[in-house]
Amino acid sequence: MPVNYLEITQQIKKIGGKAADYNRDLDDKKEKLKIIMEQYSCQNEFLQNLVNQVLQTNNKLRCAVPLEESLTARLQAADVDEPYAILAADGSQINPNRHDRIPFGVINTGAFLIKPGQNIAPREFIRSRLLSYEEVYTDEGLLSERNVGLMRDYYEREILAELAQLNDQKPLLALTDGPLELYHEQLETRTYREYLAGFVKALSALQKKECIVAGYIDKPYSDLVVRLLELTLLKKEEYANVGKKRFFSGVTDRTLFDELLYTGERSAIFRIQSASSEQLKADLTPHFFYFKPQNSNQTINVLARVEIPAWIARNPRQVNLLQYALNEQCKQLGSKPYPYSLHRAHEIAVVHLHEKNELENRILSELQNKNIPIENGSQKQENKNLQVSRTRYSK
Amino acid sequence: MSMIEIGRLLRAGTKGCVVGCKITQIDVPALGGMVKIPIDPNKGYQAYGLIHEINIDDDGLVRQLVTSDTVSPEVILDNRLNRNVPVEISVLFVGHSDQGKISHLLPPRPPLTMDMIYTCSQEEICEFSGQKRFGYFRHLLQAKDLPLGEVLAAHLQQAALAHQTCGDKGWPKKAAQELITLLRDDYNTLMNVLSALADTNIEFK
Repeated sequence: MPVNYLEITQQIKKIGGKAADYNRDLDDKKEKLKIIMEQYSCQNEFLQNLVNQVLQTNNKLRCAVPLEESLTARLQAADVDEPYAILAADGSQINPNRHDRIPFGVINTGAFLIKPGQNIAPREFIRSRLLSYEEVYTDEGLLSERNVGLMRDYYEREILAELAQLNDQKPLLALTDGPLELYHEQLETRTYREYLAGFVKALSALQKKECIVAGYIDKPYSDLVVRLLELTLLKKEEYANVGKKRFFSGVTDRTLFDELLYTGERSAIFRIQSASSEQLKADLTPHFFYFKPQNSNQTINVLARVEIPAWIARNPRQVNLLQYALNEQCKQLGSKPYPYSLHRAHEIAVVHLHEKNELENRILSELQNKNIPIENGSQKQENKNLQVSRTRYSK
Repeated sequence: MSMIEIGRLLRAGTKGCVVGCKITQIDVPALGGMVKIPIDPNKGYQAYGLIHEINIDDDGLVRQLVTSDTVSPEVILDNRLNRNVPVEISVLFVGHSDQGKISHLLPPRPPLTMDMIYTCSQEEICEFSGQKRFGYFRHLLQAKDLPLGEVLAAHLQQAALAHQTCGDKGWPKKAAQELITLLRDDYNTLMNVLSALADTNIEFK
């Protein structure tokens, strides 16, 4: 049945009616936040101590922690003359689906190497991995989409570490799309611990190779800085319930930094305080800054969050190169600024539906050749697969 | 005799085919150029064709890149060499050869996907186009939706040069006379073709 547009239209009108009030509320919160941000803009030590105090009563605190730069800092990158290279990686996956005739999993990892300013054709790399029986059929049951995502994140770093070893160009930037920290639920599972260990090993290899590692998050919805500023309004007895009492829910960091930063500028660097970021310690501790790339489309605001490990965060020269390189990469796509190398890595990695179908047929063919009995797909899926378009007898 | 590969077959039919080639190979094929496709080299069976269209497609990313103020040379190289948007060359079949014997009839069997396509040497052009009759002209004249005047002019220019090298300076005149005869009842097309030929540097002696 088609969507009942008449019914939905009434609900859309209700949302529209409430939208103005909601936006007014957000604007009001944003103005208050800006005042608090200005008030504490140069009180980094105070904020660091405040975070430590709250942590003593609540180790689940998740917020940004300022380093040395002012909260309201706006920094342009200095031009870079030295040649550098960028290695970007992305992954795509096929999740085992119990409704299919044969549940199978694939992780496709793509990487793209470009050397800006050197007039050399970029290179593409691809690794396609069909998951084994042991990986698909786990002790906990069929491998979940969440765990396939975890594996994908790991393989992205693994290919970066592997290719970095083969590349002599320095400096070398190693980029991925998404957060640097391996944020997944079920932190205590064996699967998570195994992949976290591999993830840490890959990052350490990149550090050893002196790579500038970064995760690029487009249109971030995080509120790490907002949560930091909310701490200044809490009473001591409220520390244990931090996160439950919100003063500025709905306001994201983006609303603050979108107005603050001009094109090409980055914000101050912050450390991420969270339970999951505890998994990456010392030199690997995740940090971030907000970044407004050059944008030829004046009608839209584009802001990204760039996550970097501690060893990059404390190196101003590497941070500058990263910011400069990201800006140059985003410029390539004109009115839709996004790092060109990351987009190409995505293009290399992406798995299309027809490819999934082709792989399924090949696996089924192999099993049939081995006289392995094959189940039918679920009747639910079989009926979904029925042709939806209509045919006519005569022209 | 060295063969210059210009690409591989994407799709084919009875009357023609489409060839895909990398942007780095684009220097080789030209409009009106004669090409050959070995279909069964063991039996000396190959198809001959004339290039009548060269297409360079875009996609969403290329359309986005062209709107940018600055596109780096590396990004241009990436799109020309790496991304799967080949140059597509449309070829009209004009004949074939079987065990060394040339015929201006269409190839009985079209080539297969991924078959290699080569430019014809001057000797091959002379051999094919120097047959007693210009039978292969009919394939061009019957084809629809191709720039007939331009393709014929480009082909005659290339073939005239080949025949001059092979010692037949009178070939262009014979070819032009045949075209006039074939198009005597189609004034508009004839004028179009003659106009295009007039723009070439062929000497019709």
